[in-house]
Amino acid sequence: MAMLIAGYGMLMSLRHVGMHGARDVGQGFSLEIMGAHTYTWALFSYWVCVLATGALLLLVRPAHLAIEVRTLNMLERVTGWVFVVVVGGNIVQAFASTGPPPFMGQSDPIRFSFNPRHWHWSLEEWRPPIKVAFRGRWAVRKPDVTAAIPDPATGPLGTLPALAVKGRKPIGLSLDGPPTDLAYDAATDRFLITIDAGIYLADASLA
Amino acid sequence: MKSHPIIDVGFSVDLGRFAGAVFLDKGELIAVGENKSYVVLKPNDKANADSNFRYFRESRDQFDEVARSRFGTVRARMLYIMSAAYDAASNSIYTITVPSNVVKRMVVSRFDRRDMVLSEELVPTLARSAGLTLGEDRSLGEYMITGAAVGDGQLYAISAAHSTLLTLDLATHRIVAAHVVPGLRNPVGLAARGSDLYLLGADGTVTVVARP
Repeated sequence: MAMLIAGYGMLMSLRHVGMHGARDVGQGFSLEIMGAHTYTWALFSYWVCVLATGALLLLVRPAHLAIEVRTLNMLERVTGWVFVVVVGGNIVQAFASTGPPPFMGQSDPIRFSFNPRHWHWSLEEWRPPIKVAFRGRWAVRKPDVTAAIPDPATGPLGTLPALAVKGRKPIGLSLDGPPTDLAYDAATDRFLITIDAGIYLADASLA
Repeated sequence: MKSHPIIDVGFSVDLGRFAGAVFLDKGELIAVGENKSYVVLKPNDKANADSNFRYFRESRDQFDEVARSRFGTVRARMLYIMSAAYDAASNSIYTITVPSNVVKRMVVSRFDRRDMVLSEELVPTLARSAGLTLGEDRSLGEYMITGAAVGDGQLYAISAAHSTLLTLDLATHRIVAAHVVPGLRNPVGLAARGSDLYLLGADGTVTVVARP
């Protein structure tokens, strides 16, 4: 159970570190504790939990598996009740700042108050257009030149003047795939043509 | 054909699919992937084929790999590019974003050749003197720039969408001219040679027009 909870905690903290970890120096989200923001400490704490749990499991011996009800000592009881109070406090704060469904938590958490007048329950995430995608809202598809609409008349600038074509011919190279770009170097009077992962250097006749 | 290096694009930095390539200074050239990752190469007839096995799948004895890294952007973040251009005057490399299924936004990014770091990003607008007008609810971001080249302070960009050649003044950041190229379909590259522009189509056909 501890491993499962720590695994979930690492996932959620890694999600926050992933969003903010690459920002500039000193930039981050919410409070900074000893030079690191809270989500970084969350990731570290859960990682320590996983390591500690793994180490403890290595120390388990057959005798430890004997079923025996153990009475908690005072320190363990206090620890348990502190844990319950902390979890309870989180539940109260999460409810006050988010509200019951269909209200949703804001992407940027808001200030907490015990005064219900200051609570702000939001339905903003339900505003259309609601974008649901397996990879997230910013799942950008690879560009495809063949999907472009070539008709100039439908362009955003309307009717445009046409350039006179001085010549048109196929290149004299046998490529290992469709070309993806062309460049010219005046210093050496040669062309460069690319394909997916290859580069062709050609003379001025494109051969 | 003089030489033909095939890069191992999956090694180290994922280069994706080459979308743009240009000649640089010092006899070097750069190939930029759709994801703005790049590799800088230098032709070398005495290259060590064994040493270069780690970089190239072909022509290991004709090229050296100088650098392989990624261009970082701000406005152009989360957008793919399909073109690259080099401006010798400013010693800079340019990339231009293409529209996606999420957002249609044309962002021109300039990277300083000396440290390959983002030095300028601009969203082009129309020059008043150009006599160009955007349609209602239309955007320059609809153009899909697949080839670009710099000459005399102008960035020439060919769009596969609507087969349109845009001329961007790099000093004012404004589109100063737009032309259609008759008979052009699926352009993938553009090169400036003298007073001409060479437009390469996906079918391997080169169309030559005079610079506007």
